[in-house]
Amino acid sequence: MTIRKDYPRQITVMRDVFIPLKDGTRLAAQIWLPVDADKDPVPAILEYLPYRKRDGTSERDAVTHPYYAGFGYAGVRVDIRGTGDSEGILYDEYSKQEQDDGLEVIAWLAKQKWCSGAVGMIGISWGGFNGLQIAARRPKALKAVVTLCSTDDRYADDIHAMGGTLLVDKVSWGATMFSILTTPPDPALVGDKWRQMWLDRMGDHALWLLDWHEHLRRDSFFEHGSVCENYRAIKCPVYAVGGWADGYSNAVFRLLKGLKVPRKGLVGPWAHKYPHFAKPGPQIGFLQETLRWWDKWLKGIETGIMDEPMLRVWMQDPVPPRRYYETRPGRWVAEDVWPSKRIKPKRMAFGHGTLGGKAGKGVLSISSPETVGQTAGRFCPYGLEPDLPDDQRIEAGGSLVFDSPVLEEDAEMLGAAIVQLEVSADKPNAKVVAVLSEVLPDGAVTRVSYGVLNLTHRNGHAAPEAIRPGEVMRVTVRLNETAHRFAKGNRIRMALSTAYWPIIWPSPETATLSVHLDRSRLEIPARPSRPEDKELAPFLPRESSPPLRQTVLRDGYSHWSIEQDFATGVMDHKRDTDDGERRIEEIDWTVGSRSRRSNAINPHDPLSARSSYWNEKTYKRGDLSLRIVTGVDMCAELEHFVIEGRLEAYEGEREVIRREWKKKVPRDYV
Amino acid sequence: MTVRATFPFEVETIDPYWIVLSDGTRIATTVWRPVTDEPVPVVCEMIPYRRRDGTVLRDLDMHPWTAGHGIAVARIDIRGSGDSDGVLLDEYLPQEQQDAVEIIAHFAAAPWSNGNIGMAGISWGGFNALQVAALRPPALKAIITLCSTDDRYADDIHYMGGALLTEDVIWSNFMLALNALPPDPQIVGGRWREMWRQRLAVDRSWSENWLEHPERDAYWRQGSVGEDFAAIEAAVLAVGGWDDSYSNAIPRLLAGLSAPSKGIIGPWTHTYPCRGSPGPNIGYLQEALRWWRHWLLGQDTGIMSEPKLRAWIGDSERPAPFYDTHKGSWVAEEEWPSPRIGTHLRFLNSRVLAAAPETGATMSVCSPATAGTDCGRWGGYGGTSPDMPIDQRREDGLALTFDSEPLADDLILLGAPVLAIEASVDRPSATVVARLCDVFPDGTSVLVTSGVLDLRYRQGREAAHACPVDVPIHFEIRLNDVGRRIPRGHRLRLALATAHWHMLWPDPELVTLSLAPGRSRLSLPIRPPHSGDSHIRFEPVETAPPAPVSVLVPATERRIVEDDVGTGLRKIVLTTDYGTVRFDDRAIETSAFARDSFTMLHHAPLSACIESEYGLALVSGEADIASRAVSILRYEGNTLLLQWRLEVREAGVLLHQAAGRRQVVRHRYEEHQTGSPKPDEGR
Repeated sequence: MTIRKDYPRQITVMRDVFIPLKDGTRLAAQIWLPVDADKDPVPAILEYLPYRKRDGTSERDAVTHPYYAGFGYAGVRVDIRGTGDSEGILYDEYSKQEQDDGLEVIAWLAKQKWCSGAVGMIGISWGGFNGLQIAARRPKALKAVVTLCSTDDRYADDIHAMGGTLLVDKVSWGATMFSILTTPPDPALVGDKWRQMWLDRMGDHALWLLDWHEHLRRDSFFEHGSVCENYRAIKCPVYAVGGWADGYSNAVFRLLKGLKVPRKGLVGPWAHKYPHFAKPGPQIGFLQETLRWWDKWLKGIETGIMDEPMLRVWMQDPVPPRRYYETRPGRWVAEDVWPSKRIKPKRMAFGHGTLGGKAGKGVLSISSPETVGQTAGRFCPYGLEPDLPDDQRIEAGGSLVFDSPVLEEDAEMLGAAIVQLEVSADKPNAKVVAVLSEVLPDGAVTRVSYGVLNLTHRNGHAAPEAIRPGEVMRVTVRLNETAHRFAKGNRIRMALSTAYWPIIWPSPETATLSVHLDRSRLEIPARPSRPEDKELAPFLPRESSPPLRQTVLRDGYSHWSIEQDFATGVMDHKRDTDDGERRIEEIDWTVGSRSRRSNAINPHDPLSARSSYWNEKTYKRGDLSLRIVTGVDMCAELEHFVIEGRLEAYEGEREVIRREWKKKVPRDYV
Repeated sequence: MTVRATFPFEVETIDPYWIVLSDGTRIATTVWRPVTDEPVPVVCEMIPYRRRDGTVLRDLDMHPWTAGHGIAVARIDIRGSGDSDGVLLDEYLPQEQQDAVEIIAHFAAAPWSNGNIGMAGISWGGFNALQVAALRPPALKAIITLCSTDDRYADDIHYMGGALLTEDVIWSNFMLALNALPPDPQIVGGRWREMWRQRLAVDRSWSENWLEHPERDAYWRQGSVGEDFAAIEAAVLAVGGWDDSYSNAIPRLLAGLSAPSKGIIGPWTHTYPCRGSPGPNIGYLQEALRWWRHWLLGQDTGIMSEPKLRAWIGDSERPAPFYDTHKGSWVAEEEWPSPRIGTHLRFLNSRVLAAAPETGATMSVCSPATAGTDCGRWGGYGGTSPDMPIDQRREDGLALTFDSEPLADDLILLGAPVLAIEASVDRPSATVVARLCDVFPDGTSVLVTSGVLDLRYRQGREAAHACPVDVPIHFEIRLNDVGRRIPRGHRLRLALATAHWHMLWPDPELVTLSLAPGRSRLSLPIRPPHSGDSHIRFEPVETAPPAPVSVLVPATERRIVEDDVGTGLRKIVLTTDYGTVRFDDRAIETSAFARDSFTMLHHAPLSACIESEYGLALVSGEADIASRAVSILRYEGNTLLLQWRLEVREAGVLLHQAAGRRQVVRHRYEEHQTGSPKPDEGR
């Protein structure tokens, strides 16, 4: 990484900006901009998040926003209402209030003396979501959006659900937001009212999980904020970026297909991080790439970016299975438009253990141990820790496995593989999991993609219905989009299972699925070679602005383990992490955090599943010492989910608050 | 189960009963003697596990019962153990056998004895009963050998198929701790310190020696009665269980012995058939009594007109880490080997087992070094220890599997399946593990039996021969004997893997095994249904009243496997805290603690490490002694490095320390320079 110190324009930062809203609420902002912006106004690039600009995202903000400022933009980080140093309460993710506030923020930015009147939005994850959501509200000043690792469909591709199943990471996410929402503003910025603001934040509204579980099917809760409901609402150009190792890359493809505005898509090998520092590498000069986008759409400077292919992706090469990759080998390839007519489905029949040969006769059954999925990694990996899928071999015995013959030549795919199944189940509720892998010559198996379907959602995610045991259902399982080269000498494997812990929550009872072989098949989106790929201009080497100045006071660690007790059979996926403690020198503010996670299940009992989280956050300056401890547990009964939450907060040694929550919610076919 | 407190004979317990050997050594014994004017036979059990405080529970369950039925029982502390003089330098030494010959003569000459002596024992005591019988002491008329072996190399705790069992170091570590305990001052008086000092002076890890003998050499032939079955003239009743690791010896003994012999193989682990889990238990004491009455009292109990072998045929059961009881039924064979048992041949085709060979593309497997974790523990001590194999599906994914069609009829296996394989390996040192599984219609995979072969011993166990690399070789793997019914609708699965951790010490490099379909075959010993089987009955369990024991600290067990996701390090930790008990009738308190950990990186067999810890404590009279032994086995380069240390404390104060270190070449280094480095070893 090249740290850039010299810029065309000299940079300054405003740390204590408060943006007044019509209802009197003030949102806190930090703005990096050229020192001469008043004289030579610049476009603003807004990143609008609940993750605390002051200490939450300050590390990554430091390597991003000053860079934009140096090239003649104002990098603007705003704390969403009720978070960081902003006033008010945040009641849920992606609320209409958040968008309304965003519209006001954009209007406010556009009329600042230092602003040219043009505003862009950039963001990853939450900030990628609300970039799209606010674009759909069409604020006049918003001229372009860069959305990374986000979704256009909050039910199809977010941390709540996948194929109508409940993602275990949803509980993790709820616990994480619970731990963030209960943190205080910085007294140095907001003054004496900080304590009351903090107390106000620690109310019932902070444990969003309780309400989320009221929405387990695709209802209006999920339609709200899903821009796929009306792509035409978006009128400004959109650059959608994602990574194959991330949980959100499907949206890039749907956006390219659905949007009518000028648009581009980029998918690298990355997990849930910005591409100039994401793992697995290779990273790219993402700031330079986005400057070409901003120059084009916010400044009207022709950079040629729109003359390039609409979609560029990293075609991944085969690799041995690993929980962590420094880089993934591969190459950049492109498609002029998406969907691409060049890509056609290659159909592969299921035989008795074979794939791509003659279709088998009859039925094969599968009832997986509930621990199948132990090597699946996480729904949304961050790539910095060992959270990617491991060797899939150990799952084979608990799955129905179909292997192709050894490939006689390379085969490339780009897009979503699809499994068509005629299947029956012996229980009213069952899941099917389809894992596409590559079998290496030594027997190691690397996951390429996967998809899941809650069979009660076979006729749509809005209206689940119980399975009639024994009835043959025709269903489609759509796997996550990917670009992969299956290499000559390897095999393609499709593995079907009924469980995928700790990715998805299991059905109430262990089901047996019976797959009718000759009416089922796999379709792989086969991509023919494209000679022009060789001429694709390379991305520039990665650059950033200088890192945040901070002092580490306590080193962190992260320990991931899978522990199984031979006596009980219970398998526990554990993570014990200390993010350490560090002092941010510019504001003399010391923050620390620690967390523990446990996702345990017994292979023979789906009702044994339990997901537990514990988070601790600390904030210190001088005599001030604040500590917030939050905990979340979720387990399930036959008919209900049971969610529990705990909160304790301390000022010095004094307990400020102690609260507990418990709620039972019907499972609603999950 | 019936606990019987009154017997046909009143029982006199003599403890200590001293036997002075010709070299002056005093051997401590407990004798349970029927009170009668008639001379009685004597059955000897001679083991190193401390009769006063080690085996007292099972001794009191069993021996007074036998004495109450007219057979005296002598429970003897081997020289150097318990309260006996001298030192114990290794297992099954000629000295031990010679001592037994003298002891047998002693009892034969005792005025209250009828001159007919038996020997009986489980495990060590089963081994030495056979070994002593092979020396033909004239008074020894019959033995009962349980959970033992006739071949110390093939079927004991050290090696299996030429591969090194990890239990070797664990067992030696236990003996290291045990041999550091003193005799009981309540029995030997003031001499206890001097006797103890002699023991401590020689207490070393026996594994130092065992690792020096990786081949089936003279060391292992000594004490292996299979070398000359004809040497045994005493009648032999061989007893074992399928869940134990010693049942292979029973069919071999029945086939090999020329002396009268009978065999019983039940569903049990490494325990007497009247005790422990899994059941069903049988009235072993009654059965043994019939044996003794026939051979030692000349009474006709009918036992010799009964079938040669009675064996348990286990039903198909879902996998569990331990079983209270097994489902199944008893069958009998008039002869062994039995002409009734036929052979089914199945060929290893492309991922399927079939009656006719079919060719196809070459198949390969390179198991991670940690494959085998779900296969249970060698030795299967049963009871409530969760050491049995669990669902094999994860293991099947790490192996090359061959599935049969669903069975059209029940299939009954009795005997040893044998695999004849043509395959190549890409390393000069390679081990192949063959597992035969019963696959339920829902996919659950249950281990039926398994066998292993260190391919360097494919031409015989006497000498290692490096495998030629990437050249087809032929070898045979004999799976462990088994009695099992596989039901109609289930499939048979044969799984081949190249690693078996934590049961076998790993080869130094990951190995890829390649084989062409249709060129290897599996012979299954098939027993047709037989109408006579339903007559087989055993008496219900009876025992004498249990020893008076107070549990001061209850026992606990943990069996944990932990994968560090970041490094790929697997750590298996087996902990048993046996707690603390007080034997109220003799004012002795004992405690014991065992912790065995097995660590290895999934892809780096050279990272393998076993650390075994055993702690024992004894409070009796003025003795307040605790011993703690730790043994560590790992690779150092291509050599095996054993390190051990012993700490002995008196009343908490460190009194004695010893340590040792032995480096052994197991895989000759030059063997491993032929192979090119493998991609992606380690992370």
